[in-house]
Amino acid sequence: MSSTAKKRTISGMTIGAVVASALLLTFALHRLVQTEAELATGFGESLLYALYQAHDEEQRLILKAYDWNSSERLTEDAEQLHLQMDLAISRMNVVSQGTLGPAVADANEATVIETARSNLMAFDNALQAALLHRSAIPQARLEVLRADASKLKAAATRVLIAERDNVARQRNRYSSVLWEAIVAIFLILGCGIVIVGRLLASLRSTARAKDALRRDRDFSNLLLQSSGDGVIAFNVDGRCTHWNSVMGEMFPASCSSDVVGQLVKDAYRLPEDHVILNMMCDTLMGHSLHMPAHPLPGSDRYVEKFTHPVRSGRAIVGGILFIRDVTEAHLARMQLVEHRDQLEATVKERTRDLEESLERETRLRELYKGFVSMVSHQFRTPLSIVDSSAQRMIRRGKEMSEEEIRERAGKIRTATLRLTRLVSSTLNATKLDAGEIDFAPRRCDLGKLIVEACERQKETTPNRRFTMELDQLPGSVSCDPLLIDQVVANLLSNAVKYSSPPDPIDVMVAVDDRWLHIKVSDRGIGFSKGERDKLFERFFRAKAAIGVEGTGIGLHVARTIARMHGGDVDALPRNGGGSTFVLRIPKEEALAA
Amino acid sequence: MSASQLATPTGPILLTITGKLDRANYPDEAVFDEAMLAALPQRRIETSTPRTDGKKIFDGVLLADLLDFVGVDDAQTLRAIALNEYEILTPVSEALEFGALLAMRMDGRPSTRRDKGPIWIVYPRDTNSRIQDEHHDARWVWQLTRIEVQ
Repeated sequence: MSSTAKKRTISGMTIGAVVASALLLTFALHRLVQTEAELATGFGESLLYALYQAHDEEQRLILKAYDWNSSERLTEDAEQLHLQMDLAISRMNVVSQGTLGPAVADANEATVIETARSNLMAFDNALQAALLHRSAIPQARLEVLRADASKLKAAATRVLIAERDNVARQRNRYSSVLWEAIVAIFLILGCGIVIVGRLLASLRSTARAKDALRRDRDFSNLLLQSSGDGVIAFNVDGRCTHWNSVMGEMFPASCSSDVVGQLVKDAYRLPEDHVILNMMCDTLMGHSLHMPAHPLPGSDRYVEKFTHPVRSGRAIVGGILFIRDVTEAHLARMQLVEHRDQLEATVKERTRDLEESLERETRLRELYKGFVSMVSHQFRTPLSIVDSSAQRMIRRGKEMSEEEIRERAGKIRTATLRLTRLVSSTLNATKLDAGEIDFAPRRCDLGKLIVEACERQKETTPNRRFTMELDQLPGSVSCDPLLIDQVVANLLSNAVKYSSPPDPIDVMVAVDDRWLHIKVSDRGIGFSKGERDKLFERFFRAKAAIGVEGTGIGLHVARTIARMHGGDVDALPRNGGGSTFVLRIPKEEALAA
Repeated sequence: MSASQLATPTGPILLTITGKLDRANYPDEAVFDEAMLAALPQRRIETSTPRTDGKKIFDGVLLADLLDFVGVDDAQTLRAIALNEYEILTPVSEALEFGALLAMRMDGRPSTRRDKGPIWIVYPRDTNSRIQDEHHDARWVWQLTRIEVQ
């Protein structure tokens, strides 16, 4: 049998015992009440007493009547006799009338009483006549009365015997009722013992349950106190039900008394929207929450918070909040993160270095490629001129006229000069790249510088025409005049090289709020869109420029110099054909200097 | 002597009261005929009785009024005696408390010696459950002839 079924059986037995007790009690009470009612009825005694009285008064009447007959029959005697007559009649009336009437009928004595009464009334008539006439009462009447007295006595005896039987019967009945009541009481007692037994057993089991509960609670408290985490449990009202000392150390309560039993809100004096109260609220709605490591306000510790709802069956009856000190772990993790970040930074740096090296290497390779290509193109022509002149001089020997020698030697020199120029410009560029050129800005007259550069270009190519618009140019500009002169000269010589006479070359200066723009435009071959940025790379030659002498270094140098000044050189296609190169240097630089 | 204060009866004597009385017409005795009793305040009780069937209307003198009339002070017990020598003791306090009436008429007719008269001590039995038992019923003395105040 399962324990539930057993419990149900025991409960059923207890209820049965209670119900049985109630029924037995009702039964016993009912029987006793019934008996009490029977006790209250019964006129036997009263009837007997009334018969005795009637008999006695009748006897007295007879005696007084005999006295009357034998005495002098005075008025006083008449009074006495009359009184006795009244008494006898009144006693007879008590027996025959009133409440005793039915009792007489029950005892089957009605005939006797009725006869006695009518005889008494007849005697009364005779008595009244005798009293009136002071005569004797007839003997016959007296005899009848005496016979009636005997009959009354006999009736009284019968009533007594009947009453005794009745009492005996009643006693038997009471006795059986009493026994029934005694048995019922014993049964009730039995039921009572069962009930008391159940009560004691249930008290014992309650005590055991309480004991077990207390042990459980002690154990829970031990667990709670030995936990390294701060623990606080609360009920649905937000009232603290459990609390351990670790929690007290981490979060000292605002109130001095015991936290258990108080509202958490009051114990810690938390404002309405405090994060812990919100967490408790969410927990009571059935959510398990976790708040990751965060600094504990007012200390250098880090804590984590966990909450879990506490359920009884399906209902939520409260919640439990754990607060864990995770300072060590948190710091360790933070250190780890820091190391990782450092490592990543290092890796990035290295990667960047490597990429830069790679780029540098690639650029260098491109440079060499460009250099070799440039050298193969530009250096071959003058060398072949030198070589062919030398061959011719060897072949002709002494046949060669002085004139011819001079001409050949002049060609060799021109070629050599060209080679020298190529070499020096290449070296210049290298120096510039290596940062070996001094940058010495100072105030100078930029307009004069441009005009002189044009004059120098004209000396070389007298057939070219230059138009100049230098009106916007300020009086003096801060720059390195030697370097800027090199840039301007380069732009002018490029314009001359890549266009043909009689197209003029325009030099124009524009100024905005930040910059000076020195624009050099030609109406020449121009450049394709894709080549625009490559124009400024070292050793690059535009496709259209094949056959024109050049190292591919000039624009690179120009841009480098412009950038040293904080400006730049840019190439734009000119409206109506040709190209415009713009040297841009900052005006601020001019003002600051 | 206070005896002179009470009139001398002229008719047949119905009731004799003995004991320590303030008012009497014989030494330590107050004797009443029908007229003297009829001169006292008359009260009425309607009640069923242990000796008759149904409710009856009784007229007569309250025992309290009668004792006042003869000047009975601090009496403890009454011994009520009937013509047939039936007698019973009743505490004065209870007799007064329960409103004992010396009834001389039942249902308007004068009571005779042949029918529990001429004086029957009755109580308002129906309105007081405390006196509805045999012990109290025994105090319903009929054919009352004498009261001894003790």
